[in-house]
Amino acid sequence: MNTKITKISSLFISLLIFLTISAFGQDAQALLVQVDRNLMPESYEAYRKVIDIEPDGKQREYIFYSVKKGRDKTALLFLAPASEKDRAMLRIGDNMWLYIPSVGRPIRQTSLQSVTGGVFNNSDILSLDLSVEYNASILSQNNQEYILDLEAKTQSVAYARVKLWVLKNGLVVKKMECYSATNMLLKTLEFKQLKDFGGGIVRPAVVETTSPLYKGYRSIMIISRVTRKEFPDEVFTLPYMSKLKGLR
Amino acid sequence: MKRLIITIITILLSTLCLAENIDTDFTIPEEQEIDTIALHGYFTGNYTGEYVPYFAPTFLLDFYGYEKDDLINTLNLGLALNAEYNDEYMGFSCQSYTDIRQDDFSFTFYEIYGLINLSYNASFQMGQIVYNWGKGYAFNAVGFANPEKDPRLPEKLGQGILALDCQLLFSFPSDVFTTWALSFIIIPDEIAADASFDIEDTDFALKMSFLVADIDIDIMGRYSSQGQHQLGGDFAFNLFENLELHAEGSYAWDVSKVVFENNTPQASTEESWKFLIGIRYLSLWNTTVILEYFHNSAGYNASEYRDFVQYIDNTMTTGTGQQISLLRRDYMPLINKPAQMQDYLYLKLTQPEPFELLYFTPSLAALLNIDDLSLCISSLLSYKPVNNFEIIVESRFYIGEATSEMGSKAQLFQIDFKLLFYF
Repeated sequence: MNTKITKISSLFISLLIFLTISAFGQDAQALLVQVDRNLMPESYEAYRKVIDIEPDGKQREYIFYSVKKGRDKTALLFLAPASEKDRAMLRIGDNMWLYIPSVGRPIRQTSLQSVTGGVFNNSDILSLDLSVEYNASILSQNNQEYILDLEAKTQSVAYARVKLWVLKNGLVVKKMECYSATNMLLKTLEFKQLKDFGGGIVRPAVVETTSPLYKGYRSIMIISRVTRKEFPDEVFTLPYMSKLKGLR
Repeated sequence: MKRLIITIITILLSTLCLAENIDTDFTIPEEQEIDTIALHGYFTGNYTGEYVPYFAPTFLLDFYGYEKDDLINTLNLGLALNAEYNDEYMGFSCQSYTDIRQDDFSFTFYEIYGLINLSYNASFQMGQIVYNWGKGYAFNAVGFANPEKDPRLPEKLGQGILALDCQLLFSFPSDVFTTWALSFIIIPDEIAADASFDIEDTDFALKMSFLVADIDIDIMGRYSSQGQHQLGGDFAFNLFENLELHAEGSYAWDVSKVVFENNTPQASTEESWKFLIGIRYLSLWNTTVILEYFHNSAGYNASEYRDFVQYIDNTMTTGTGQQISLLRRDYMPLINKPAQMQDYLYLKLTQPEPFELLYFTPSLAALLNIDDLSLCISSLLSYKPVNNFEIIVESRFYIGEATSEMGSKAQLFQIDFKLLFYF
């Protein structure tokens, strides 16, 4: 009985959000929050594989274990290749650190750097909710999709402006174009292969990135085993970076 | 039901739009091994060439008994083997290195310790542990529990110390004050620890860490059974998105120092101030620049170092065999001690993948001794042509007068060529 009531309530709330967004198109920020929630739960653990593909077809792969809590705390552990094993990254808001076991302490990083090389940079891999970093407005819409214009809230965000394509059915991200402050296209992210991860999580399992700055190169991120999970705040601290491997 | 229909429609639409279907299942490493001990590390083959002209007194001391040869070549094989076990409540870590040469073999434990996690807030560690306190890249003013850092090889950590430590960690739901951590370390006297534990020969170190207003702050101290107590602090924060600023400062009581005025060693103790300030900058061209200034008030000035080198020179040329043996016993550690003087400037430039050369990272570093204007220039070329294989070519040039710190090094030029296979 309770389950039925919960389902009806969820449906009603979803309908209300949809109607609100339709009626008040200017409330793009609420739409962006909903897009964030559809993309990933607020707190979760997941595995990611990043494949960097060179113009001649050569590939290089990285596998990560990642965890996130709330809107602005995320951490990641390198599982492969062996040369990078047990490296850890932590992001709290705009602050980012890299822990290398042989160095023995966290070192501050910037979101523009790339720990893996390739087209993905640190902020793509340690991504926060878009609504935390950007203010949204609706650029245009048709029957199938919204196109949102996202403007960075601070200068420390990796991309000054983002153009976001969102499918109206399910409010799922389809594509992102990332621009610099001078309005230069830095990269395009395409979200593909919707997958049901269980627990009500349905999202694209593949994100493919290309950049006019790296012609012929592309990077693919495959997301796997997304599970809603709550972690204590202590997991997202500098002293805990060396202990992240114990979480798995 | 509506959600299901929406999901099915979206999945169908998305699938139809796909030109390429990517397999979204992948094997997660060590998935079956989470509850077992994980082994990893690397094999390495190294060649070292050193140009050692026969004039520096430190050469005579460093290579005492060796046949005179301007170029010394060394070949060796190494195995770095790390074993780890980690779960929610306990862990174990061991890092070892085996060095095999034609006529020599050595095995070193860098770290071997056990860990108990009482909760996310409290843990204990016991064993031989490597600590790396401080925020500096090339120098260290607050490394009260660290192996000594060599600015010529700043990323190489030394052996850990025998210790028992307790760590407390708390995080707060605040935008300003988010983390508080405490690390309390009991460091037994290394010699006494073999046989017995004596509280009078035990050192204690304490570090408190905070993340306040996006600034990493540490305050630390060490109580020494020998009276050389130390107190210090450090911080690091991002001044801009691509510019990090860091600093360390410390004060120490009763630091021993030997000066060689009038060709006579004179030991004394004095108070010491150390501090460093540095930046890490990422340019638009993806070049990382690290710049650091370091001051140690108890280090030698140019004249004191010159006296030291002249004392070695005199003893090596006019001393008896016994005097030379005593010199080697007493002052070899001082000769090999990194950053012995008062003021240094360090600059390092790293450019990943220049000229679209993928997986190739060159870097160039300069270590300037401000007191005697001697210089060590080093370069490191790293190339990773395939996963888990790395080629490193590292070279160092020492420039300066024969009585300066860098000019008195036994080697004038050194090159290391390494092949590493990670597993």
